[in-house]
Amino acid sequence: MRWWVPLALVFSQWLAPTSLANRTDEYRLKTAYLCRFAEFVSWPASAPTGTITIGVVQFDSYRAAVDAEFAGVAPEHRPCRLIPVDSPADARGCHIVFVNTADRAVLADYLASLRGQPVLVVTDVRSGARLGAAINFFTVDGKIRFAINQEAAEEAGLSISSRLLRLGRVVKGGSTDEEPP
Amino acid sequence: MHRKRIVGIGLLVAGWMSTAGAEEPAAPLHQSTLEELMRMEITTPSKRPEELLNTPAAAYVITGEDIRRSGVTSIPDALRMAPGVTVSRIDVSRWAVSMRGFHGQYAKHLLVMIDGRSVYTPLFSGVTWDMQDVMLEDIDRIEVVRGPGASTWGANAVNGVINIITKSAKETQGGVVTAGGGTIEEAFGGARYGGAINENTFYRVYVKAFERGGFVDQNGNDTDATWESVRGGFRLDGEPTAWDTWSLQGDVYNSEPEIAARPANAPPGSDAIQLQEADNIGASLVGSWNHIFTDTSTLRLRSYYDYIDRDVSPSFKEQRDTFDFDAQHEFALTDNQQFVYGAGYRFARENNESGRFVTFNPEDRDLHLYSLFVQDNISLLDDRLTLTVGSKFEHHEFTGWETQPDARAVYKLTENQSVWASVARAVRIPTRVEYEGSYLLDIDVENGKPVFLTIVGDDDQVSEELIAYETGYRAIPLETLTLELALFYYDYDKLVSAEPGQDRVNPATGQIVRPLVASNKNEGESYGGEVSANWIATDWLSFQTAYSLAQLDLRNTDGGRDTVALLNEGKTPEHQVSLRSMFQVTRTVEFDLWVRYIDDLSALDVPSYWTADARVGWMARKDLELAVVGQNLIDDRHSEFKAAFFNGIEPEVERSVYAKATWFF
Repeated sequence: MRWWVPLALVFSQWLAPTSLANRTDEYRLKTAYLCRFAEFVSWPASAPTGTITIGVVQFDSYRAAVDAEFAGVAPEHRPCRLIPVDSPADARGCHIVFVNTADRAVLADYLASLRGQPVLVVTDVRSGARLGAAINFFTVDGKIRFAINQEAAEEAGLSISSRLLRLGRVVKGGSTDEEPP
Repeated sequence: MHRKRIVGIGLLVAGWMSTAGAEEPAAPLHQSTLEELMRMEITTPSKRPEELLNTPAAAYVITGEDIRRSGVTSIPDALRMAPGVTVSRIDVSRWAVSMRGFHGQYAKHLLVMIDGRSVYTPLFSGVTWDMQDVMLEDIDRIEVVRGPGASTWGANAVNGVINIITKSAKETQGGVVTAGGGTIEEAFGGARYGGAINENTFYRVYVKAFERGGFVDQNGNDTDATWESVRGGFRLDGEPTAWDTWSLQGDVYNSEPEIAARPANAPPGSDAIQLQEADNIGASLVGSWNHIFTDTSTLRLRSYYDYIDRDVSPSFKEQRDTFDFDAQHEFALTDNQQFVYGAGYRFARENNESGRFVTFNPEDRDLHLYSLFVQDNISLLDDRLTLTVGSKFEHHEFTGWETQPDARAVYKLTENQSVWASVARAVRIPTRVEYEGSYLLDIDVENGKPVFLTIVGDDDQVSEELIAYETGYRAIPLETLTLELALFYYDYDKLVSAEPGQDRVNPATGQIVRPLVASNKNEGESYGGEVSANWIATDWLSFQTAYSLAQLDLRNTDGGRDTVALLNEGKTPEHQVSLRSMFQVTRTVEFDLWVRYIDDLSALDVPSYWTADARVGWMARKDLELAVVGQNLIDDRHSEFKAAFFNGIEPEVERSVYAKATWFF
């Protein structure tokens, strides 16, 4: 990158207060994460085959980001497919369900209904991984991080690669935080 | 008060300001590796309005953009934007800044921090605004929390807390050069450059200087007092891993404000002016490290060193070294409880020199402050109700252990409305001069002779106490409209009083000195509230409005005979109004207007006033911004505050104008 490019990006904020060009839309970034997660997860034979299907709860808020992310990528080149999910029953045919909510009760519904099913539950509910989701997004200083509840994934019959475990923060389900490493 | 909650408001507001037109990267993100995704920064976390609705306190965030668009040139002037804050310019280099009452140059109930470094002066209380400053372009936001913050921040955060937070070095890459001048802002300039040391470590360096002047006395004659200041500094920010961030920043400065006063021997009615120049030097170094254990567990460490050398001879000299260390760990206690605890230690060494108007006994002092802090945040009723209970426990040199608890609750009525309520205790530690010193408060004339009213410290002094009851309502009826209402009732006890003693004659000068012994024989209440609304009408037009009310009721107790401290009742404006608009006229032209009303200060004979600031900004080229700012445009001049130390001169603020060029490279 040329030396002046980052500067221009920073000051583009000042030139036109409505543009923050060097930053990324949160929903697009999470869409990309969801797609990439699939590479690091192995599903049991009982899971559906074919393109990775990701069910998104409250899909409407993600629709624009998903469209932008896959615009210009031919369907056969897309590594995953994002579809709306309106109820826990809808999620059963998915590889990944993204419980996009802040409401813990909604997450609890999905977790109860999907118990034992080979579905990777991802959420961004506060403390979602400790509540039983396999992966939980959180934001630190404007960057997206994720916590992994390995036990929850194993109970669903999924195995998470060590590389993903290294990149995320491994937490245990239950009542207290994992002790600092 | 939970620190990260307040941040949420700023992000939310900033988010609205910047939703339109965010450009998307060309390449699909899902073709990047996870490691690459983890390095990407998001626009502003699209926080659901919950963040704002979950704040159990009256909080306001002044953003860097607010500061730029308002045309202010100093931190205290920027604080006029926040509801509940009263700011008066006393003269070219001095301001009175307070929150919800007890207004004055040494507003004793307000804690102010710059990047976690306390700038509250334990000598007199308040902030020496003629020393503390930053490069305004590098301010990320100013968080203004009304109400006690003592359970988190400790003593002296009685009426409120102000956190000035600068951008990380990563956010200030590249160069900025500013230059300009005008009538009060006679000449100013600044330069900052930021770069990357490697892909995870960033730096910036800056230098800034100005000369201000242009104040007049009550007859409209120029006081000739000027204020020269120069400062420079750096900041380093690093992210060695995805889970660790650190920063190190430092500043050095020299500030030389002049005070214009009537000479002591001037005959009544004289126009004579004597200028006294203060020579202030300071430096600071602040380091911090944050480590993230999990999504719910974080460790924060911060330490700073601060040096002050304030020479206001012949009045007094102050020299202080402060070392501070603070650690805080936050973790999830249960599914519904987020627990925070911390500990801190502060050491201050003072080597002061008594002078004509201020004395210290002893002059040299070592002060140790130990503190512990706990806070529990409990979510109930499916997160609709959040309770926060916490306390600070501090050991202070003068007053021993102090316990400052608070309890807060916020309840979400609907998806876009919430109510909150709190009760909190906070204390204010006696200042050095109130405890073991003296200072000249005022000069009265009795029977044609001057009487020097002198506050005399007393080591029987205890802390002033406040129990504060607050409640508030918030609504976000539209994505672009926020409405807030906050109400407070403060119950003060053991307020500092000035008990008159026997007049005596200073043998050296023959002057009559009336000692007023610092005691704790006042009590009282204050009440009031603030209403504010922020409305982003369109992409190119937004409005920020606030109304503030504060009423103070003080009285003697325990047989006290104080009369001077009771005057605080009449030093705080009852009503204040602030109306701002930001108008993007064309793609390159901005027009910003700010109208304020401040009620009278009856005890000081300062009348109420309306005033207005206006700014026209033009992006002349992609890398050059030109702006013309007019300040205090309505009247030729007006008085905002009066202070005794000018000895008869009452500086007034004149209408002023300045032009500024900002070049980015």
